[in-house]
Amino acid sequence: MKGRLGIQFHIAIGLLVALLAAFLINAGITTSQELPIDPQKSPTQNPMNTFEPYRTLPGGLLVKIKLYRSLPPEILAVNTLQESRLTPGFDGDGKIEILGRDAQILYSINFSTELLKGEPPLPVDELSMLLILPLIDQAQRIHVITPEGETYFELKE
Amino acid sequence: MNEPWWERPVCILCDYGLVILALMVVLGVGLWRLSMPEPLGPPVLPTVSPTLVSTLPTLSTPVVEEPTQTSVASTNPAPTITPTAQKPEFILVFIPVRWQSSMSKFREEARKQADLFITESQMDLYFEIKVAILDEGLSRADLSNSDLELDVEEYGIINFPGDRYIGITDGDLVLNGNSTIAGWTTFNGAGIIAESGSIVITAHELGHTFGLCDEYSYPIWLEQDAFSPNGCPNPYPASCPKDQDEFVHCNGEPTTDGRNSIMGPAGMPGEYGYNDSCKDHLLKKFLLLSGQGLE
Repeated sequence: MKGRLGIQFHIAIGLLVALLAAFLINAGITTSQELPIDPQKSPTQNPMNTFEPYRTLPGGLLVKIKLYRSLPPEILAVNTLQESRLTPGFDGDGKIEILGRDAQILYSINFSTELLKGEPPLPVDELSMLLILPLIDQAQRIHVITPEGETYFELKE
Repeated sequence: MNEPWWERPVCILCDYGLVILALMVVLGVGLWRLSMPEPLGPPVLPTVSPTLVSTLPTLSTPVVEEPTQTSVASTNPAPTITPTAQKPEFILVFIPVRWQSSMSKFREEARKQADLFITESQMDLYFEIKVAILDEGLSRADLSNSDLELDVEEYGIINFPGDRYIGITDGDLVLNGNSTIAGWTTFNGAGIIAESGSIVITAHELGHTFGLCDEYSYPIWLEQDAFSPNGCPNPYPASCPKDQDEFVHCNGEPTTDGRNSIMGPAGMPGEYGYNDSCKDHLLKKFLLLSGQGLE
């Protein structure tokens, strides 16, 4: 029986090894979760971009923007809604994004920037538009981009 | 028999030590993560600042929701792509705008306008369509306000979230001094303003919101074609004159069974329908929007 360690030593050493392994595994998990997020990354790849149109959702942001033929867009107003149906994304060359901390894109859709209005719908120099976005806790700014320029709206002071 | 009391468990450890160690590692990871003070990921920040963003009030507007009628198979060729059973919901919201007659007349008007669009577009093949008819609306609206369709849309968004907002008035709409106008919208928008009396107005304006162009005047069609990123999906009828003024010179391309084109002028005798190129575009659009064309 000589040469064998007592059970108390086995348990103590086992626990120490387990805690060390746990620390190393946990450190590995943490590092992989805190990788910097590329702001240019496609929003469709963002796991938070799971909001779908054609459903009534609790909360929402009503964003009123103005597009100009030869000027950057303006964000006229942002209001919260009690419930909403999101604006579906189009193939258009305009884009509206909800940005979080460090310019992380939390949500993004494209929209049409055709300045056609009236009956018959004919080209106009400026056009107001309403877009509905989801309410996201981490939202910091709204970013609107058109071929004529871009603008931001701060949601947090 | 002389072995000490602890020898048997130690032997078990010798034999199954690795398994026990693995279990302890799992337990250790769990305990370590539980003891972390804050979950990983970005911190949860307070919601939108009330100093910058106000909450719009919701009116307790009585709403009548009605089931839609199923579209009847038309003489047009059937769509080549078969829609699946899972259909998203699409809500058409009808809002009275300076409505003077009775609410029952408003409901009847809204119902007729909705039915023409649903039946002719066959949208119900791709969406579960709901029609919401509001009993309250924009009672003091200025019928000559060129942003009236936007006011209708905003009112609807706040009071009854939907996917298209159709304001109907029994008054006389005036756009840029033109009182012959019976309705308008924006291309790919969600808000419409239309006069009552002709059931084709809503279907015509809804056509614009899905990208269809006017077929009643060549220069107008040409301009819409130039400003649409992919051009007009419905061609200007080859049989129509190509006059260079913006008056009505063309009745539009009729449907295969000879009815008037919805994207042509209003007020013609006889029934209306979407012609083949309009219907083809709408079905492709619905397929895409409903997510059934993304596979």
